[in-house]
Amino acid sequence: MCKSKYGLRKISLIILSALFLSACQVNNINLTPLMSATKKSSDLFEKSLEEEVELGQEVSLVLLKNAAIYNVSDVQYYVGSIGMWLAQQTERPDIPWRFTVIRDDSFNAFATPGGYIYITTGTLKQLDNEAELAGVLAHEISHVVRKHHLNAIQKEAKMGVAADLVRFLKDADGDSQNSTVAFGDHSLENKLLMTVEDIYSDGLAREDELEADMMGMVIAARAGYDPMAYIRVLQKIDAVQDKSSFWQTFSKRHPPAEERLIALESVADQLSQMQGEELSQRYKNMLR
Amino acid sequence: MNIKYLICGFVFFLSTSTFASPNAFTVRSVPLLSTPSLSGSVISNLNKGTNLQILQRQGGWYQVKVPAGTGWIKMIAVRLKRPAAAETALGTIQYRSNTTLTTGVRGLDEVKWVSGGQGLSLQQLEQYKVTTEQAEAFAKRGSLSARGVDYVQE
Repeated sequence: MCKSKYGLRKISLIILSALFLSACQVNNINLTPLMSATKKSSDLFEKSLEEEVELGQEVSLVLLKNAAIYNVSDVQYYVGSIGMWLAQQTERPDIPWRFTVIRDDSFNAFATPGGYIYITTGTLKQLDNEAELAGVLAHEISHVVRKHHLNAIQKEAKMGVAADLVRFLKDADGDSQNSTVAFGDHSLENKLLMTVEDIYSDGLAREDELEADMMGMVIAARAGYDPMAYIRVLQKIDAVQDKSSFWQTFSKRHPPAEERLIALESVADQLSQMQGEELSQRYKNMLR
Repeated sequence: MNIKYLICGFVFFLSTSTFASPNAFTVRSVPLLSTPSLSGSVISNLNKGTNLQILQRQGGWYQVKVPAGTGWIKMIAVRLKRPAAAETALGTIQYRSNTTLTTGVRGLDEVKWVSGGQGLSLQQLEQYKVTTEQAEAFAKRGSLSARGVDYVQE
């Protein structure tokens, strides 16, 4: 958790920059050091990807603080190759995509900003072929392409931190010495940490999930896979999903599979005649 | 009569009867077609809630068996039935690993995503990096070729 502090602090500065800019008009506090730091970190467009990747790394370390990597390199490279091939079919082929299999027997896959994708061994067990795995990975890739988590974190952080900031500025009451407290006080970072954990625990907005479903099927189709394999995955989830711990985290974060299947009707209609590779044997050989 | 034949016959009866039981149902009325395409001739119209047996999938179509016959329906109009308890076990794939899959001890904290480990390092996340060239070679080995498909507008 300590490792995350630095990155989250940096991100908090970026998020706060806009708030401080307007706050400065209202309060007569010397915030020059903070202003210059934030300006520096958000100046260049190229840097914003760097910041996104850094945030993704920090979020990953927080979410995976009790996790274990699956130490079978063949499987890691297999999943990574599928993921990288899919990512090449998107609008963000060049970001540093990383795909990692986590040793955990629950059903779970998730993404963090900057191109970090995780899938559990429990999920791999439930899938029957490479096209199904491609569908799941393409869904997570879509979240990164559309920056769903990044936007959610920034939105929530702005709302949550704004209230604190107003209080902080009032308390400072013109004393420029106190304005540096923002750097030393970890409460802002802790707030952001809680925000990140809330977003990953509660899940993204329903429309973000449905968008990732639709985009993911198209990305899988672009990569040469049978896109309808993903519908099969959702149907399997719909049939077996229950209140057990196996599904607990997944269920909390996603709309019900039935709702997702209904939302995918028009996409399914348009892609249903598309042929594509299923690669069952390659999948079974790899995961046997 | 040899007892072996009796047992074999009974086992065969069990397996065929299990296979024949419906494993899915329709969630709306949908035509049962002769081919996996909208141009197929209509064999019959299935009502919402019709039980069926899925035989195979081809693209967005399931070949299904119903009392009215065998034909093809859109897979999106179908939901799977919950499998029997024995089949809900975590799949049949065994992992090659010298470590045992363990169920993580979940605390009260709901943010405990995955557990049973000491966390991951950034080095570990970089460990299995795949290059674009490696991914392209991998795709080629699987006869996967890229194709242009537009995002679908709702």
